[in-house]
Amino acid sequence: MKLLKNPRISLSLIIIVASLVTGIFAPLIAPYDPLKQDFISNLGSPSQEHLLGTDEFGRDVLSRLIFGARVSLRVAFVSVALAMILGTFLGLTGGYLGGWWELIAMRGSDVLLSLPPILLAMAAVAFLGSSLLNLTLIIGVLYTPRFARVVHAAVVREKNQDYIESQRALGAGIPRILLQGILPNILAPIMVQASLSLGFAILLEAGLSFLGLGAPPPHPSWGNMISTARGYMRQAPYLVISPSITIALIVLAFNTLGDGLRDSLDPRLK
Amino acid sequence: MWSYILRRVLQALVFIFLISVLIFSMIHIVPGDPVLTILGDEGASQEKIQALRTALKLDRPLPVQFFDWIGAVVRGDLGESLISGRSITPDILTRLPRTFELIFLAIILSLLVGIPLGILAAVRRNHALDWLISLSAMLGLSTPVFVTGTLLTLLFSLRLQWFPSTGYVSFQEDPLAHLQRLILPSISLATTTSAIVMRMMRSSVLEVISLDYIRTSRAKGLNQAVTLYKHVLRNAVIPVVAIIGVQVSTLIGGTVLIEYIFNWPGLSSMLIKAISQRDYPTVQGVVLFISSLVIFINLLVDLSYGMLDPRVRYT
Repeated sequence: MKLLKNPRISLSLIIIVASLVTGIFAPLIAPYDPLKQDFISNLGSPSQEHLLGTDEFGRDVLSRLIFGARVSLRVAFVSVALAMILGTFLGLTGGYLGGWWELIAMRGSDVLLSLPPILLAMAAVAFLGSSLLNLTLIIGVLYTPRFARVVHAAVVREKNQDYIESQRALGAGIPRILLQGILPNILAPIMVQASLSLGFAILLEAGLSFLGLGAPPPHPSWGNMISTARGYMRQAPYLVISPSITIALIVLAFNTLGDGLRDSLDPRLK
Repeated sequence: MWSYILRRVLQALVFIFLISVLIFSMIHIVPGDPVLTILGDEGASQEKIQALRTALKLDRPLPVQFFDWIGAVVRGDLGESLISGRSITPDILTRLPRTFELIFLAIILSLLVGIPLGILAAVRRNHALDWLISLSAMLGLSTPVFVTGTLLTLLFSLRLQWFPSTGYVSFQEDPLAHLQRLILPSISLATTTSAIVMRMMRSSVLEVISLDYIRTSRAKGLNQAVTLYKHVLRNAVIPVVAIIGVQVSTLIGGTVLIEYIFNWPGLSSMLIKAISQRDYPTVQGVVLFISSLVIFINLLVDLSYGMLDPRVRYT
């Protein structure tokens, strides 16, 4: 694993894996129930019992951050997986088949890419209602064009290479050419895009939750934790700080991973 | 060149048309009856339901609804708000300059911060300074605007009390108060773009420096600084200007959160309010307006790119 020797890649992977593990094993790791209210000790400063303090309902902030990882990361991973599958499909078929299908797929992608994702996401949430499922689907659709475009460009470059020609000459069908011939050779840009998109998806989910359009309360998500904590900024500024640092750190890890992967996997994109 | 311009304009129009179809169809993909969703769960009277259905023009066939709506849009009429009953277009036009103001200042700030830092990082490539600048840029890219905004408020409004934390005072009313309230939101908005400008400038300078003519100019003994100013920067800045155009879309997305945090009465806060009030016509109107604006700006950027860089050929 030469990639892991790159400190940027290994360091960001450590942060990502750690936060994933934290999210998955949240009930085992979190010191308290994230929903348990305790009005006697509300807005408590960080202390031995509550490392990051307690919020306006006396809930343990650290536990809420840990459970919040579940919401934020699950939405991000599932939506990016969805975008990756859909986008790769559109890019592969569009790039290889060409014609009107390519036109629809790529122009459709251009339209979506030209607009700010948060705007479209807000409009979609406004009409479809906010639930975690809707949020995941919406973010997935919004990030599909990024993959479609990257894959499309790669397919157009690869499809006339000799190895594909020879596969075609041997009588391979289109699905076989696309999945076994082209796809393995264009995985690098897809992985780079996936890593960068995960960072963006977390930002988008956090932004929507911040606006009250994300995970419905009382379930903790990093965005809505910051949003409610803003109301207590005078008395309890630490409430804002811990989720802020958490989001920035995770997104930083994904961006750094994406950058690192791009520099080492595909020197042409540098 | 004219055919290129014509084609790009046509393409932009097609985009706007497609978006309007998308926005129009949104109200029809609402699960259940949109009228009942708007009125809420409490048993609304039959007349009320019927009145709203007529107001939303949902009682007519789909194509008629669409062409009525698009026809009005073309004439500049985006419909009426369900809440206030007022026409949406004038409201948008009053708020537009306020949003533009934020974006404009954010662009200026990003250039002022991003370009010098980018040059510095490139010139000191792989030194501690480059490392520090690049890391800060990465941090700027990774921190959500609403986090930056919140933390800046915490520090500069609540702790140091240098700026008022929220609100809006028009320039005519009190220019100083207006500017005081403009600063924090613009800085928050500019963090991401400054980072992007810096990264672009850095890689652009590095690319130009490695080109042959720069080596020639160095070889003939020209002063480093002169080379940098006369030859490198002029060429390196082109992609940066182009990327600012693309960033307008990101900036507009950023204003959604910034206007919310700072209580800035611009376009985006109009949208947020409309969403919370289930004022569907306003949501549609504002989204269509902002989308068209973004596409129009992208078009201008594409066309002006050729003026900045004569090497760009219109094909």
